[in-house]
Amino acid sequence: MQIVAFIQKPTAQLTWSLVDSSGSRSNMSFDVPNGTLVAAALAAADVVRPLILAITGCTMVGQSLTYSMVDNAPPAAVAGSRVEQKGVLTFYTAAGKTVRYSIPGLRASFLKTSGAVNEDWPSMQALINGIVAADAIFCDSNGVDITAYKGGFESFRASTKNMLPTDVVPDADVTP
Amino acid sequence: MLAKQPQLRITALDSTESSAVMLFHVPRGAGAASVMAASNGMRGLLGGVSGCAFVEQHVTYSSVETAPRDALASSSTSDIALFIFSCGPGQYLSLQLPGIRPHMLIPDMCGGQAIDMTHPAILAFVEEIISGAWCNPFGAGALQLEAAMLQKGK
Repeated sequence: MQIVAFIQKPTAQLTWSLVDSSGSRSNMSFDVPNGTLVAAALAAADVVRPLILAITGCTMVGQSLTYSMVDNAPPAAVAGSRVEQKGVLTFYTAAGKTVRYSIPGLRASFLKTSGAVNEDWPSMQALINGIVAADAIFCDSNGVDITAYKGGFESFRASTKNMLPTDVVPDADVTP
Repeated sequence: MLAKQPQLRITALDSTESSAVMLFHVPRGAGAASVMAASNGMRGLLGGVSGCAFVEQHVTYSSVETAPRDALASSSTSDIALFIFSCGPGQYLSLQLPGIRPHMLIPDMCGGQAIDMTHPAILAFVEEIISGAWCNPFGAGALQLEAAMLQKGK
């Protein structure tokens, strides 16, 4: 059994986006200890923001506070897995709208021959229930609860240049 | 600042080490610890259906300025005020503040420009940074200002 260790980064990062008179953009980043509560960090940002604006001639257009965790001993991905092969799960929200989640590298065993997601598998059921459960934290981009599963299917995204294999050479038997 | 819906991003790597990011939204007011705990659970569920390795997770609380002031004429992001603070033995914090206002610069001894460290806005900023809320990327709190200079970016 592989041991996975997700560790918190030592700090949370506050980033502001600035724009100068020519429209050029720049970011500036500050750090707060990772134990700083969101409300306290945002309150500190409210204090320092006018101090920054008193020094800079730029205008401030955005702010973000990010807490991060990384795996310091990541397991190997399953051989043959590709992020371009996605399982798209669609859900209904309490407002009747839909929200989609694209799962990269969905295993083929969770698909029907038609390409639809096969929800008979306990692992797939657990994932779906983990999103729609009443006590699940997830919501749509408007903050509306996700309430029901609509369906799922396989989808492919285009490969970027960096995703292409590096051993693309023609076989010697191929007639030039 | 108008707060946007907080986002949870989980990064996946496949067998070729290509990456993809899954994006979730969480309620406003959800604390970072609770979101991270939910993300830990979600990663376990995703691992049951995906062949990818899930290697990072980030929760971001974003805001947009709905009524930004106009940028001052001739302000430039390439005029960077660089502040260096000490955070303990051998530890430092470096902050770069783009677009420093011209009237906060004074001639230096080498014919160039330096930051006017007696300007009230500069003093107020420095005092806030060493107040205890801010730290370097390793978590060491800023203790005192060691140097401030004008840096010309590209």
